[in-house]
Amino acid sequence: MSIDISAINAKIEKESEFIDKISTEVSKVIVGQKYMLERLLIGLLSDGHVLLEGVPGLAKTMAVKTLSDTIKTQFHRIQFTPDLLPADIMGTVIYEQKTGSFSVKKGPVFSNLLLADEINRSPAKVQSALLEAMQERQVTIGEETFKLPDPFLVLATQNPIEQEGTYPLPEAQVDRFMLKLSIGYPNREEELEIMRRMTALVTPIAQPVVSPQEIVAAKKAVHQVYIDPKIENYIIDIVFATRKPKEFGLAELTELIAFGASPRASINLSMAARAHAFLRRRGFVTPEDVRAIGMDVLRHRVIVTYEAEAEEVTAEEVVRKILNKIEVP
Amino acid sequence: MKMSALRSVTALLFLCFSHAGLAQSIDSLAMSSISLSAFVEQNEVPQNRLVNFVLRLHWNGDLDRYEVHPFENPIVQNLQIQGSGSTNRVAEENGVRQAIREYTFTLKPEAIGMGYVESFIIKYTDLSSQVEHRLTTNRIPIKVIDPVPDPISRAWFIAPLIIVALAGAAFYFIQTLRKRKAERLKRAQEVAAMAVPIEENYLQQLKEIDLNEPTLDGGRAFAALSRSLRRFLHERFEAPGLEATTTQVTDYLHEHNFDDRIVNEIVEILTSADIIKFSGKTVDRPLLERAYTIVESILQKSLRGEIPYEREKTGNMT
Repeated sequence: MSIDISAINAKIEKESEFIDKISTEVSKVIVGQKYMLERLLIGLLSDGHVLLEGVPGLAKTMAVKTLSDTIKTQFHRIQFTPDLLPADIMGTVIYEQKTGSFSVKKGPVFSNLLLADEINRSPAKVQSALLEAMQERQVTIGEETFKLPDPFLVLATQNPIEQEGTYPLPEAQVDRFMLKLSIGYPNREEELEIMRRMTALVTPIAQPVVSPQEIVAAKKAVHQVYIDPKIENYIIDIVFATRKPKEFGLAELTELIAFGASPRASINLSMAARAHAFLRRRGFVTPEDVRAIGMDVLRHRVIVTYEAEAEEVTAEEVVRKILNKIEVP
Repeated sequence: MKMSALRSVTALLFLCFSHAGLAQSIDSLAMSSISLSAFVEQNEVPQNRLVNFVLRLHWNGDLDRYEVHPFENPIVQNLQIQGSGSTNRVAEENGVRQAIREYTFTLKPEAIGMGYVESFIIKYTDLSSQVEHRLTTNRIPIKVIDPVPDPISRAWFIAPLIIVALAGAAFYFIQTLRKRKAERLKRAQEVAAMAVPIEENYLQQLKEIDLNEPTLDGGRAFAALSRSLRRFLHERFEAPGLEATTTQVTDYLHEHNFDDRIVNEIVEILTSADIIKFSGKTVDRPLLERAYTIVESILQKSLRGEIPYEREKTGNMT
């Protein structure tokens, strides 16, 4: 099969024009956090939901809100609380006295961008309802099933330090997030700029610069990014190394890994690497793309053993060792 | 009759006093059925040793014939009583039953010279007649002489010898190890001196790529070139190996202050290789020839020692 890489490159170049516009608009409001913004775009372009974890005050919610402002699209934010019900998110059937009939009232899940703020503050039944909608991309209310709009992206946040009164997401449900981001503090210069910008008389606002149609077209282009069989095998090697580390010269990890990454990890790593290449205006995936996104795809999919926890070895360390060991093609 | 009785008493007295270090009670003279012996096991004792003082009561008949009254420890001079004990035993001699009760006192000398166990009285009651009698011991002298060396002090004397011997063995062991290490180092240096430089090996590998071969697969040849270059950088300059991406290799070269021109050439090869390997791009002959020339030039420069770099990571590079 001959690959017309120059045609793909030209298409990618054309379809990725909006990236700069989004970056410019977002940078009017958000200082730094390029890593987070890039991952949010990867999620948006590859139909993958994103879980953001970080201490309060790191502009997680603001970044998502600003990103939605730059896209002329529907955005809903749900603050997850212990008393939230599935119907509060999905919608419900209500009885109308005037007509004597039932009508469907759609919930906030019917939007292009959904921010599930502090998702671990609601009980499992609410989390399950949302995560099912994330996977199926459809919602059943009463007897009717409704397709969710395209693009549909859930960006969930959770706080790693306050565990009291929270309902940690089960591993099976965390697996449905394509990326789990660990958000860090800004550096000194960035923090100074944040302080100045947020205490100014006029708070900057991002303007809508991209339409949902452009996003849908870009998503199609991402699917066309060429991924060589060598890269596909590299991805498979990485994922298999989380399951059978001994076969990849990582025998020391055998006792540390309870469960390796699922096949969903391979799919997501491949898609996320494509989207990463797209953001770099490249029509093909290189090992750089896989390495760049590997940690975010795998950190929540590798479950470490009690022995690892006792030795204070985290899933991130395990994934880092694997990425540093597997030979690039 | 009176004379014969007096002779008997005199004979008994003689018998009792003729026993070494013995005391004999006056009552025992009258009551020949019970006798008291008081003696020490050694008349001379070193200052750092112990000696036993024994009181032995001996009579014919059963043990319960007499009741010996409890008595205090004997008074001693230049000695200390370390412990005491008593034993009873019964025996038969010529068909006559005999009972022996023995009290033993362990004595420790205090100073060199003479020590004494003062005489003391033992009271007893004949249970058949319920009459109380008494026996008295003599004053027993013990000569305390110079102390003798004990096993522990001998060990202390030997200890320095053992330490010296151990130190000698350790010194010998260390010297042997040093000698072996030096020999190994010398051999390694000799081997290294004889070994072919890494660059020569890679140049030889390079020669195996025949650019004039009409059936040459450009993609494969380019991938082989970039792989050789990465392996060489890893072996010669400890750059990240085949598990690292192009960016990681480039970052390493910058961090270790490689010459910009060399870095640009390496980046050109590795980036082009990435494009060729992962985008399906075909390789034209001039590109392959240029890559070949660059890799050869890098190897030649390295062979001549013309690629300076800092072995330690520099902090001023990004």
